[in-house]
Amino acid sequence: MNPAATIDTLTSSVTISVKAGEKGLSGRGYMIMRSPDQFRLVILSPFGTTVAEMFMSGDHLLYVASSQNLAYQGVLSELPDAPALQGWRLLRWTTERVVPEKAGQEHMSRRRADGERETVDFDAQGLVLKKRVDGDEVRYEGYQSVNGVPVPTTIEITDRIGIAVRITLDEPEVNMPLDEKAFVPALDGVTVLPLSQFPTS
Amino acid sequence: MRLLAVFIMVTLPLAANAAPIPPLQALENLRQGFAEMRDFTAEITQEKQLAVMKRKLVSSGSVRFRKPDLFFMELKPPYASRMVLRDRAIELYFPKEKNRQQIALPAEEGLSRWLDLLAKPLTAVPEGVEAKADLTGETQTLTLSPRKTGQVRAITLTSGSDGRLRKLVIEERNGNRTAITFHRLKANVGLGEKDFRLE
Repeated sequence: MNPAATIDTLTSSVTISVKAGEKGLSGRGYMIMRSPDQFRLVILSPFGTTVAEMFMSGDHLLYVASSQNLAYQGVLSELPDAPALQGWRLLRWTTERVVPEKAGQEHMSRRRADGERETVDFDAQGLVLKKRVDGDEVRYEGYQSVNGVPVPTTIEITDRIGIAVRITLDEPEVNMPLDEKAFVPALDGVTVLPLSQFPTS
Repeated sequence: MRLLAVFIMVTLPLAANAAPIPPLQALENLRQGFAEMRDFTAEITQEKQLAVMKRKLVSSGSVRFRKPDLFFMELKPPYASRMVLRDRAIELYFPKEKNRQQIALPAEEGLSRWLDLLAKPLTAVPEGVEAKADLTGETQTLTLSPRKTGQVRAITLTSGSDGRLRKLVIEERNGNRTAITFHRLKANVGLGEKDFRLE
């Protein structure tokens, strides 16, 4: 495993669990990522059919409620207070690559481009264990070597208001070519509404 | 070359045996097979093929059903989940996450509504659905395609001469495809309430 190797693309089946106070949601699905800021998440029903798909590119988010032929799109700042969507505004930050400034460094504190103070904990190999920015925190566990690239198989995101998202990767594939349509939603016959209208209950 | 010739000789008659049959007849065969069951259990294999991915997601598990409107499905790890559907109420349990969820289906999507349709002989293919069917030996294949644009592009049901389901394939408009194969189906085993518990 090469701690300096980077993830350019990732595809993996995933198990996702979101906890917001007493409320909880879990599901299985599939995630596709192209560094630095393109994501596609497919959530499946127990029957295997698609429940929802989420496409993120930069600050733009599209949520497709597949079984209802409805979609919601907008920018992350319009994200409503809905448990199903919380935590995702942190996805890009979660997948940002950070390396220690020197060998053996276990802790780093730095000012980000947006002015926020970020702290990062590394293990002895220089792999990120935890990142924190202004109350948002992400933890990385169960690193596996995939084609020599270190990949955390469990990612736990806890945001500043206490919503926790746990993503478990199963058999991830790293730096494989992606289909051209990987980040293109199929919206034929789908009504697209503003993200601000996403149901919050 | 000789092998190729043998292959063609063996497979051509099989292909020729797939004879179209009236879709209504295929639906009625399925309905009659179902009418003879009070309950059933089966083992299942679920294969999910996403349009953008080469690898299939494969799960195995079991299903149980009891008339009039009770259904249970359990998938084994690594994607372990249990689901109970009581007419319109879905209860889901994810043992690894110890997470329980409840979902209410709209009235028109409840299990009893669909099963009511199977209570008496069918006289026509349901409205808004395009249907085609064929018979290969004792295996019947029925494909239903909703005419209206929706999530599902087509559902294909494969059954035996007894009208019992062997395979269900759901094709979605987004290109994703799910195949559920039923193994060791046992009918009228006398399932009780305890067989439909989540925990």
